[in-house]
Amino acid sequence: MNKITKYQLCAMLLIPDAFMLLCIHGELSVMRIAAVTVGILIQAVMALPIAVYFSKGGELSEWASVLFLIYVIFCGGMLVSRFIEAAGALYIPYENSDGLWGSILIFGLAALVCLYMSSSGIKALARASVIAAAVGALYLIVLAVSAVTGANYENLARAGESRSFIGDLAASFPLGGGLGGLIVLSGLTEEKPLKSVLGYFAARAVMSAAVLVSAILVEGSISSISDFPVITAAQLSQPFSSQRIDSLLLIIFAVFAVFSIAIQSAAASYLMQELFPKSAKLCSAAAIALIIGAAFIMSFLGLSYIAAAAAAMVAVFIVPCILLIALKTASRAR
Amino acid sequence: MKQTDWENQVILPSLSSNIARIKQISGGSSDVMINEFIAGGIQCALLCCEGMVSTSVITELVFEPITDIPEKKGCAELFAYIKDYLLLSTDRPEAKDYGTLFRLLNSGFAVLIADGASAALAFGVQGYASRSIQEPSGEGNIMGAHEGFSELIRTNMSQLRRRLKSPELVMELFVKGDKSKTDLCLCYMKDRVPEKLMQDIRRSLEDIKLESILSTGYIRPFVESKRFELFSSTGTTERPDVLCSKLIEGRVALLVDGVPFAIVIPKLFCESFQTLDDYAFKPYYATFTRWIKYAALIISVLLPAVYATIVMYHPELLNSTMLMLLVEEEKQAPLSIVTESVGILFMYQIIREAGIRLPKPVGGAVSIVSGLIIGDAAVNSGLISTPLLTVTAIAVISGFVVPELDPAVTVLRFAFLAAGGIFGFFGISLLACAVIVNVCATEDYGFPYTAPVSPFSVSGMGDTAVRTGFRKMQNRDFTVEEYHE
Repeated sequence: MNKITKYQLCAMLLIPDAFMLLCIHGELSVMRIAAVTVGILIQAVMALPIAVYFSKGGELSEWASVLFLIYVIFCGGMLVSRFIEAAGALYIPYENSDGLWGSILIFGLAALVCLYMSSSGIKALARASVIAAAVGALYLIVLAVSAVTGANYENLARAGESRSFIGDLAASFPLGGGLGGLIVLSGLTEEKPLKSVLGYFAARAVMSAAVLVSAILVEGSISSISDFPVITAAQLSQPFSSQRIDSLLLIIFAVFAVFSIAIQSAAASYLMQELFPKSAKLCSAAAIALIIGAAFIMSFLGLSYIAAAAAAMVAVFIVPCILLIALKTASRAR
Repeated sequence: MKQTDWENQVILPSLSSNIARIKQISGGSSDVMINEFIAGGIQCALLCCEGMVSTSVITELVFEPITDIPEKKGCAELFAYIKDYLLLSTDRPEAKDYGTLFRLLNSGFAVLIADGASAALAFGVQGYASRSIQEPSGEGNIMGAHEGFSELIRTNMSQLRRRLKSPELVMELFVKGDKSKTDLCLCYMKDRVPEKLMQDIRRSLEDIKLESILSTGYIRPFVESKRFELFSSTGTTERPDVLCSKLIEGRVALLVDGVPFAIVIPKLFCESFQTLDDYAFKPYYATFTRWIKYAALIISVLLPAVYATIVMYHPELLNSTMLMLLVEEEKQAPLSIVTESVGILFMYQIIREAGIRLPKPVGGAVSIVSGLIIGDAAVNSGLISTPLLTVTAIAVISGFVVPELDPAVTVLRFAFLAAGGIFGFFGISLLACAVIVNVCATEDYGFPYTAPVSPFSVSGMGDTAVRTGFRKMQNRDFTVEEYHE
């Protein structure tokens, strides 16, 4: 049995979101925070059909499993490509100095750890996610406190307003790293998932706002010239007079990265096992391989925000709506 | 002839053939004593194993009453008389085959065989030399009892019974080990233990097909999960009071004859940090010491790795005074920090093994040679730096705070040092993730090892994050089934 609790579900969904927040691209502004919050609200509404579907005891049909599998691999690929991009902004021995082979070594090692984690099963991963999320929350508190103590509140006004609200709203969709996991894992909760899903989106909104506000308070308009504004904000923050928290950021970055990818891989592996029960042992390895493949394709093609939003719309909203209608029709026919 | 052939063979009715057969099976072993005599007019023999029975008990309680038995018509009447009229010992099993006969004989029973009888009567007159009840060597405490388990399973059972006088305490004796015929005892509180847990444990024990069982380590793999686990999901204790507290919480214990430890099933990670003294001191102090133990575990595993990582890759984490101090010390050391750390830890392990295996007086000399001579000389000669030696010593001493976890901690310390030395905090983080998942995946019979932290239980925190008072605890009526998934 792979049943997980509502806290474990929230932790498993929040970790990829937190990782995507760390790797957020582009200029930060008050309007962007508003757009991200509205984006989360829209995603919460979009997630209602799947939560209701599972709450009513619905089970995934084969075609829905295939579509969800594609979306989970898409989300996993998105996380891997962000991980590869953002790793360059941090000091990882070998990755920076030894060129391509150094990168292969570092990312190969991370892939192996992800494979081990996902092959340990969803239950083990869910328990570990709660611990990782607690560590992450502690880090975010340190980040927020150091940001607030050394903050210049005028930075809120100074932060740029270069992009449109709609553009920022579209950009908020790839930030939903946990959406892939949501459509699979919400069906595995012990309780009815509706409350858990709504709780997750509320927590995500608070976390996103807190991290982005902290980053703006530290950076102000510098975020426009920074590749990864939240990482830069962490590098600039000093919780005490002499210590910096970059190293702490590296720990959180690595932990969140492998957990995020492992969670997507475990979700994909679960769907694969449902589809191909005879090849259950190979599913984790296949899931990791597909996710890495998806990441390479995204890196070559370039990830468009509109594509991410469209994929989320289809997988998180349209497919569950169809499933829900089919379930209601079937129950009426009975 | 194979051993299994004689095991099931029925006891021969002719006394002379029977004795010949027993001698043949035992290979004429010198310790098998055969005393032939006449009781009730029937030719009999009393068998016992030299050194396994109490001479005074066997003389007073068996020989004297048996030789006074009046004339009987046959062996059946003789055995019926002994069973019905003579209470020669409290433990009086009957053997119908040679397998049972030899098991009883080798367990210290006196076995009576008679001419014409195809069965044997056994009397529990054990009197072998054994270690008395002593203070546990590895689970010392200040305020609790100072009695530990001994090597005799029946003594250990009596220690449990003395502390738990409830009829709900059940102790089931059974035998495992084709050659060793080791007595095992399954202990549980029948009103507390989950029925499913008992069924699963019994099923696991049925899989044991070992030739001998000489320590708890022989049994534990059979009652633990088959997957690779860094930490053991079953515990051991050498304290009867600790075991009683576990039984009351609905756990199952397994006593092994000849071993002064009991196996506890299931075991939780947080229990490694709980000691009996926690419940003797004030809750605030117990909570404080518990957090000291949690910190000690983290220090023990991570300190050498974090030190090496900070000095090699992240000096920005240090303030300038500390940085200058470390730079000054490390620049004089001829080896890299990781090589130095691995070398010191490796040397420590060698010294530790030497200290454990050697006789105690020589073991003390090893400590002096290693601590004073090698350590001092290595620092003075500049082979290793003082801060690194200090860090390693702190890590090693911290590992002693929770001795139960020491084997896993020792290996993890090396692994984290290698990960941190090569890949910095990134390596430490990756390894930490793998370790956390491994620990979270550890589960025995549906009881997660990481409970009550993950899966989280608020009520479980009362004896994990803090130690609540007994007034609150007495109302909780906790059993381990709360954590079952």
